[in-house]
Amino acid sequence: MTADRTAAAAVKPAGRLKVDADLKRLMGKYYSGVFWAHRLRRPIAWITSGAPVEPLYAMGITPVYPENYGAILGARKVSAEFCEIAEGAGYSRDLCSYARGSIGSMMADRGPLNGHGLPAPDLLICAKNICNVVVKWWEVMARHYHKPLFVLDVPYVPEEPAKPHQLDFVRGQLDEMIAFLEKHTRRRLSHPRLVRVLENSTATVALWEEVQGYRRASPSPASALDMFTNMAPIVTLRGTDEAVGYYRKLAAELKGRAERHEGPVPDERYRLVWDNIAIWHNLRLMKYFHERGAVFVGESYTNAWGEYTFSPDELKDPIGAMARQYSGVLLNVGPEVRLARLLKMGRDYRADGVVFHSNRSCKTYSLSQYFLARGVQDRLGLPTLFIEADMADPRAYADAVAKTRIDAFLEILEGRRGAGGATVDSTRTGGGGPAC
Amino acid sequence: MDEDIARLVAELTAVYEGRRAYLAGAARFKAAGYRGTIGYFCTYAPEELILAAGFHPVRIVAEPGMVGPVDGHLQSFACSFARGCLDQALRRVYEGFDGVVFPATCDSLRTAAEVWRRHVPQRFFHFMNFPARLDAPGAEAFAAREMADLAEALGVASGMDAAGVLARLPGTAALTAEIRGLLARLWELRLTRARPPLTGAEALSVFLAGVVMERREYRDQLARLVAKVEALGMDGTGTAPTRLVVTGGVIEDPATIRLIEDAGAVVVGDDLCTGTRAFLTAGPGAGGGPSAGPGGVPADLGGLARLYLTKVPCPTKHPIDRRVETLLDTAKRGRAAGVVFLLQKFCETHAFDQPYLASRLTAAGLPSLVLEVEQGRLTEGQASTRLGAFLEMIAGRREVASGNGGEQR
Ligand code: SF4
Ligand code: SF4
Repeated sequence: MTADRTAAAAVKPAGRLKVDADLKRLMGKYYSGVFWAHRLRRPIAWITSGAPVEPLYAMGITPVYPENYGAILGARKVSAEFCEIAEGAGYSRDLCSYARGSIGSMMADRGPLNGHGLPAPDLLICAKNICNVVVKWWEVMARHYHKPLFVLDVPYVPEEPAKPHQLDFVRGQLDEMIAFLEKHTRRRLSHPRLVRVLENSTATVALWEEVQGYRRASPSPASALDMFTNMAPIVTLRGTDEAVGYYRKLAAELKGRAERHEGPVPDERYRLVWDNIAIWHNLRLMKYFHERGAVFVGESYTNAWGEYTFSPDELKDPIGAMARQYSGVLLNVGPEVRLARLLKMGRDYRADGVVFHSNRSCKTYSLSQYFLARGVQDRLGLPTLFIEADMADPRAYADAVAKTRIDAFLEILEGRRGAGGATVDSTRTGGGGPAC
Repeated sequence: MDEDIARLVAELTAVYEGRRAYLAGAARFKAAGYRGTIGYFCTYAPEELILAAGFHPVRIVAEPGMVGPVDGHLQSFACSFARGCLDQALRRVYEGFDGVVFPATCDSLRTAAEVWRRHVPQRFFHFMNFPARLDAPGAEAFAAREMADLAEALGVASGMDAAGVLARLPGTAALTAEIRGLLARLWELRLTRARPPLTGAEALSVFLAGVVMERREYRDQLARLVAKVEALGMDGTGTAPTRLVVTGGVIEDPATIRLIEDAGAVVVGDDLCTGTRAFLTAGPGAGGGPSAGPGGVPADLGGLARLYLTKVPCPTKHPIDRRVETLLDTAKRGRAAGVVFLLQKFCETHAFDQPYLASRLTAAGLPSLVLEVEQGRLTEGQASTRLGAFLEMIAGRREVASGNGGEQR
C-alpha cells in the first residue's frame, strides 16, 4: 500500500527545516516586540487563539497569546512548576494546563522568556469559540490586573453554516468589541486597514494550505514535529506581513523537499494523522514514530488554521466576514463537521491510521474523540490509536504506556500492509480507546 | 419540628426518592392533560415552554451508581455530572420520556448532548443555544429567538404549532413564577430565622421534588408547606448549630447535605444549581444581593429571555458579579459562620471561580472549605473528618471573637 509512495530516491534531509532559523528569529522578534511594547507603553491585549485578532493588528495593538505561552512553558518543560503555583493558589489540577501554567507564571511574575512573566495587559479579549475555559481563565487574569475584559460570545454551531440570528449576535458584539478597543486604547480603527490585515490573514492561510498540500507527497516533506512548531506565526502573527513572508519561505522549502523526495522519514511505511493539541512536553515522541517508519502527514490541530480565509467578495463586509469565520472554527462546530474534516484529511493525505491524543486538559477537543475514532474506523476502515496525555502537564502522562501502545498499533499497521490494507478487527483493542 | 411540616416534607421527599415509580405513573400525567414527558438540563432550560407545549418537564440529574456505557462515549475526565446523566440515559433510564432539552452551558454538557442526540432513542431532542455573555448587546433578542425555535420544535412534537405554545405561555409562566415565589419565600425563611424551619437536606429534597412532580400538584403542596412554616413564628430557642451556606453545581443527593449537617451544622442557604440558582433573579439595577427575588411573570418570549438572562448566573455565564454578590449577601443575611464549596469532579467552570469566591469570602470574614463531589455525592472518605475540623475551627474563631476563648489559638 505504501510501497509506491516510498520512492526509490527518497532521502532524509540533512537536518530539520532550514526555515527553523527564521522561525526562531521571527518568534524571538515577536516576543521581544511584546516586551518592547510594554516598555514603550504601547497597548497590549491578551487574546485567545480563536479570537478575531485582525482589528488589533489594524489598530497597532500588540496581541499576546497566553495559550501560546502555555505551549512554550510545556515545550521548555517548566509547565509543571508553574502549574503547581496555580494549584497552590487553589486552582484545581483538573483544569486546563495552559491556564494553570500561565496563571502560575502571572502570579509569580516569572517565566522562561526573559525571567519575568508576560508583560501585563492593558486590556483582554476572549472569544468563547474554542471553549468555556478561556472565559473563566480570562476572568481570572482580568481580575488580577484590574484591566477591562471583552468576551466575545460565539454560539455553538452544531452544523454549518451558523444561523443568521446567531451571526447577527456575533456581529453586534464585534461592533462592540471595536468600540471597546477604541475606547481603551484611544485609537481608531481604519476600515481600509482592517481589510488589508484580513487580506494578509487570507494570504497567510493560503500559504499554510500550500505548505500542508506538499505533505501529500511521499515521503512527506514535513512531519507533525515540524508543523507543530511552525504554526506559531499563524497563531500569533496572522494578519501581518511578517507571517506572509515567513510562510512563503516555508512553502518554498517544502516544495523543494517534495520535488527532491526528501522527508524526515524517507523510508515512509506508515502515514498518520494526529488529532488534538501536541504533547508539548514530549515532542520527542514524534521521533519515536519516525524511528519506526511512521510519519504524521496531517494534524487536525494544524489543519484548523487553514480555515481563516476571507474572500474578496466577503471583505466588502469585513465584520460580517469575521462573524462567519470565527463561528465555524474547529472547536465550535459539531462532531459531524469535525469528522468530515478529519475524513477529508485522511483521504487527502492517504493516511494509514489516526492517532488521537486524549488530552485531559482540553475537554472541547477531546470529548468527541470516541465518536471521531468510530467514524474513522467505519468510514475509512483505518485503525486508530489513543494516547492518554496532557498537552503541557507532564505529570498526567506515562511514557512507557504510550510507547507500548504505539508499538502495538504499528504492528497492526504492519499486519495490514501484509494483508493488502484489509480492515483488521483487532485495531479496536490495539487502539487503546475503550470505544474503539 | 412541627408535625404538619414534617409530614409535608416527608411526602415531597418520597416523591423525589421514588421518582422512577412516580414518573412511571403515566396515568397521572394523562389525567392532568399532558402529552408526554420531556427531560431537561440545567437552570437555563425554560420549563415554561415545555409546559406550554403540554409536556411534563423533568430535570435530569445523575443518580449515584454509574455502570459504564458512558465509558464508550466520554473519557473519564469529563465532568462526573455529565457522565452520570449520560450513563443513565444510555442505560435507558429515560426510556419513557419523549425527549430532552439541553441548553448551552459548558463544554462537557455540550458533548454529552451530542452523544445523547445520537445514542438515546427518543423522538425529541433540542439543543438550545443561549448567551454565555449575559450583558452582550443583542443577548435578549438572541435568547428570545432561540426560545422561539424551541417553542416551534416543541410545538411540532406536541402536535400544536408554535402559536399554540406561545398562547399558553402566560399561563404556564404564571405557574412557574408562583413556584419560584414560594421557593424564594421558603429559602428566605430558612435564611433569616434564628432556627431554620427546615434543615438544608430537607430543603434540598423539597426543591428536588419540584423538578420531578406535576407542577400544579407541587405548587399546592409547596404552598401548604410555606403557610405552615410562616405560621411557626421565629422559633428562636435552644442552641443553634453552626450556620453554613453551601455553594456549587448540581447536588442531587440530599444525603450530601445531611452529611454536612450531621457533623454539627445547619445549612441555611445555598448557591446551587439545585437551589437558589433555579429560582432567584437579581432585581433591576442591583448587583444581586438583597433585591434578589423570584422575578416577575413573563408574558412573551422577550420577557422569558429577560428572566433567564437576569437570574442569578451560573459560572458558565459571564459576567459572574451577580453570582458573587448574591453568595456574599446570602452568607451575610443568613449569619453564616462559613461556606462549604461542593465541587463536582472535573467541573471546570466552578473550579475556576472557587479561589476567587474563597478570597471574597475571606475578605468578608468567612472561612470556607472545599469538598469534592461526584454525581452529587462526596467522594472522599475523610470528608467528615475535614468537616469536623472546619467546624471546630469556626467554633474556635467564635470563642476568640467573643473573648471567652482564653488563650489565642
Ligand atoms: S481547554 Fe482546550 S481550547 Fe480551551 S484553553 Fe485549554 S487547551 Fe485551549
Ligand atoms: S457540573 Fe460543571 S462541567 Fe458539569 S455540567 Fe455542570 S457546569 Fe458543566
